[in-house]
Amino acid sequence: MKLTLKIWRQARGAAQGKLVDYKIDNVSEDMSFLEMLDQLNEELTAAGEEPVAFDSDCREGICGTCGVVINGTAHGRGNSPVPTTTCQLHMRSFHDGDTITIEPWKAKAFPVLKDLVVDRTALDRVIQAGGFISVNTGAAPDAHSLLAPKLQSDRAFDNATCIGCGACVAACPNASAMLFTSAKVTHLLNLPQGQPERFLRVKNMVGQHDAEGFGNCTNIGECSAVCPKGIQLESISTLNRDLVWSLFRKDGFTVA
Amino acid sequence: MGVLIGAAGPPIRLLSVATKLVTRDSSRTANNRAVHSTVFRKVLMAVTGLFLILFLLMHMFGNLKLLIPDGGLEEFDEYSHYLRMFLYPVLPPKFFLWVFRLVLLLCAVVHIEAATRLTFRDYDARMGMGRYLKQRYLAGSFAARTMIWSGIIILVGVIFHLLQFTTQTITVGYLGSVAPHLRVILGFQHWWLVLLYAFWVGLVSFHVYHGFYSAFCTLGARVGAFSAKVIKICSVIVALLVFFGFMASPLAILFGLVTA
Repeated sequence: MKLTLKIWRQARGAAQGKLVDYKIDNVSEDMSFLEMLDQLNEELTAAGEEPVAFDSDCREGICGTCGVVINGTAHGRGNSPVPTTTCQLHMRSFHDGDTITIEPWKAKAFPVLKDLVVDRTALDRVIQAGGFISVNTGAAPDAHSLLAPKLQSDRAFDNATCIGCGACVAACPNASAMLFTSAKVTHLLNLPQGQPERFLRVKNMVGQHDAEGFGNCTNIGECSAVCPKGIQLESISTLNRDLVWSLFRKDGFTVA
Repeated sequence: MGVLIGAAGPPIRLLSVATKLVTRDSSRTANNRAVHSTVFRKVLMAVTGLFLILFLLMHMFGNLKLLIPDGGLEEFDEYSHYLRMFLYPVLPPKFFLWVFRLVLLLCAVVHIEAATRLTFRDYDARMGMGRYLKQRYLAGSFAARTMIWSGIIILVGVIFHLLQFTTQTITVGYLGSVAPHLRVILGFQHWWLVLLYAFWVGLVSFHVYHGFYSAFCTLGARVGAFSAKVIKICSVIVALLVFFGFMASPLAILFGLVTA
């Protein structure tokens, strides 16, 4: 497979970058997208050029480290019905002679560090603002002392699958991280362990989300269309509902 | 925060780890932050937007009185008069009318204020125009991405509409001041006015199509895949109702089915 790549190159610390064209040959359709970039980097290194910086770690779609905008869609899934991360996208999704445009996530809250690598610590701070439960240490409680209804635990688990890759922010026309924030809120509010901090959590996480400079949700649905974990827009609706409820409760008060 | 090095030029971030909540404003309580959040603004937009849609539907059903055969025109004038005198013996004349107008104005102001702030915020968040050099949309409608533009044109249209039918500052097809049904009939005998209104009402229903759906999502009514479908179908029905309901009378007048 012969490809033309248009890759966003931005030097470390530079305010702007630009697309640079690269030609690559002998790409196997069995390669993953990142392996194709690896091959390009090998060739660039051999030619004495600076390799393209991109994030990756597990390369099996479970860690959330990788992620670039490919041909205008986050993770490059296009209209494939299978949700994937960039590392699980394979070159068989492309054709010989294709031109592929590769850009980093772009949002004010995600400054580009270098080339395709962006700083996503804004998402970490949203989690730190309330995306956790507080548990006192001591003897483990009996397994059945806290009952979680099946449907609710399923919903919690579906939302817990968020890997924090940031594709929702990258795809959102408003650069909003609501899908990410709401996944964590929905995950914890469906579990009994999440109840004591439930309303303070949603207030704090939404407050932090806004303080980070993310946009707001206008229910377009671009985020869940690119989400590699299939988090649904219902989660955002759940967060909205919970935030409105939380306004009628003093900080620190719970459901009762 | 990361470790910053480099004395000259832009700071270079070597290590980027979230170690503390750098951007959290500690001068506010959690509740205060929630009240000032984008989500709360959206809730205000949803509530005011739904009220405006309710008003639109009422307005539309009133307009349809023109189409009643035999005496529809008189009934339209009577209805127009009754709106001004609503609850008259109980309240002073035109009292309800002005209260209702002020509530509508308040809704519009809150809606527009929130829309303006959120739009500027979004523009900032995605770092202005031309975010990606190549962009492909997978979900969401054109209506959803252009709410602010349809909103602005609707606002201009509302001002024109009030100047034409309420204050009669702009008159089409007649001069001076005439009975309500004549303002409509004489105006819409001109094809270009019908076309102008078709464009405007089209944009209104376009705005309502995503607005209705988005309002219910924002208020938390979208609880699962089925409710998402129900809200979507309802939004299509309401949008079509708004378009055809409002365009029925002008078209009937244009084609000579309703005459003065």
